[in-house]
Amino acid sequence: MIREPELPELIARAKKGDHEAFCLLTRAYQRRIYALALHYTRDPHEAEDLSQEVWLKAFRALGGFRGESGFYTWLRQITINTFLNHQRGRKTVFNEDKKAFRLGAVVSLDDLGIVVQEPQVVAEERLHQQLMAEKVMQGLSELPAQQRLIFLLKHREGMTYEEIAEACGISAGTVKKALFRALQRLREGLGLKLGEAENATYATHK
Amino acid sequence: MHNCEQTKEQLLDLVFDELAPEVRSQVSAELTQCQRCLAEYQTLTETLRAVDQAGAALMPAESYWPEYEAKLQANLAQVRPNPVRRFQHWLQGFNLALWQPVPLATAAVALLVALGWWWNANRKQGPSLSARDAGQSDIAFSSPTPLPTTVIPSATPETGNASPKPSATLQQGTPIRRNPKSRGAAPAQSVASDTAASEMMVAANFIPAPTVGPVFEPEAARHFEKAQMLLRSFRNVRPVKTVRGNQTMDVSYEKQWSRRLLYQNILLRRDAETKGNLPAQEVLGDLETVLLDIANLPERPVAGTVREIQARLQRKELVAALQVYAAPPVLSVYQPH
Repeated sequence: MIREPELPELIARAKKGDHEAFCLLTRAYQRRIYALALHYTRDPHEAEDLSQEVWLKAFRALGGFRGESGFYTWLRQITINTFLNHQRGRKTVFNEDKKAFRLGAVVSLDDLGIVVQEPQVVAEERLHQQLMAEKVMQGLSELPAQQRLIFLLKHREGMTYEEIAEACGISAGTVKKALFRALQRLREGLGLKLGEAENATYATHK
Repeated sequence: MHNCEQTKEQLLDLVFDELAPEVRSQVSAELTQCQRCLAEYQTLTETLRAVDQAGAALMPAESYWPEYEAKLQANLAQVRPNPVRRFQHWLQGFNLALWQPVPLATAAVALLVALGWWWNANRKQGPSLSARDAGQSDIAFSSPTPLPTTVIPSATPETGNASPKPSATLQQGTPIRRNPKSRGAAPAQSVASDTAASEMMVAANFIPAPTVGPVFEPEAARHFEKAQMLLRSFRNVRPVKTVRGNQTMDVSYEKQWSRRLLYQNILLRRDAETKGNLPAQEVLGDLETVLLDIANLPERPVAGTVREIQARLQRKELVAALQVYAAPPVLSVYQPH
């Protein structure tokens, strides 16, 4: 992690075109940006491409960074804009092939006869996690792109309603409404309806 | 009194931590009173936890990141920063605040004004160097290859008047032969007030230059150039045919050009009068007379009329004067004998 005093120096070097300094900056935030992209795209390859695009845009725009806001705040706005452009550039219909790919990746361990050197309980747990992760991704994919983005910005980035509204160019009321709908749909997708909370094995699974 | 609907409306804000502390504790208290609201709240938090766990499960292993960074570096190598930004960074090396366009624009305007003033001042002063100044100049005396001196006759040949006239100026560097008739008059007028300097220059075998007159406006210089070409052309006009025993000359081209130049000449002369520019006033006055004469010539003038104007041109040495005035000034004032 970059220490606070190092950040301005790294930014100044990166502004002058120092790739090494810029890579140090990316190292500090690349997981966070990638995770956001992964939740948004639901596909590891697409997440990689999208997050790389974010970094390239950031590198090109770094000269315009004046330090009036935090570096990550500035970077996040670039991320949001990139995601929104990505959303406009393609249909956000869930791709069945992707689903098959991910599920296949999980199931193929047994199909390929790969021996997992771990206890049976742990292996089952991992498989369960993978399946539930697919379920979450399926739920996210069923959300409209903007709703999904709003949900991610709120839940993963911890932005306030107002911050999201400003970043996406919508009202705070729309943000709140989108969040409510997104959470309802995800809950339904996970089978966590009212009265089933006690039986939600995945949610309480440690 | 607990209201389930009202509490449910606040659950989203509670889950996303958007409630003020006092409201938060109030809603939390409500949840302890109602199992149904509590269950609703739990399903929401469990959903969010599931999303977190899914994200963690799908994140790539640590071994993935070096490859990710290598790919990013390869992509970066193909990207050059925006040229505008690069220029800004270059300028920022001079501590210019580009994000403050108003001060920058003000500074740029001030710089332009200063440059304009400096250029204008230099242009008006020109490379003039009076005999006195030049006499004190190391450059003038040590110049290894002094350029030829150009002298405009200071006295009209008709009168032989040697009094310093405004037209008796020197334009340096123009390769025109000195006029023998004005050789003595030119130094006398320019260094008369400084006998010692004059003696020194004579001893050094240098001819002091007359004081250079005001440099003409570029517009006037161009006018002189055109007029000079016209007068040269007029001077070379030859008889073309004989009508009833008289030689006539074809001066249609010169007439046409004279009319064109006449209007410009009048404007320039008036301008010179307004500014009190005596040398310009004089040469433009002489030129105007000649231009008028040429412009008013008949289509086929007899040779005598044309030769009369040509003789006047020669007497006044107007072509030479125009050549001098049209030439760009060059800093060189002394010529060894």
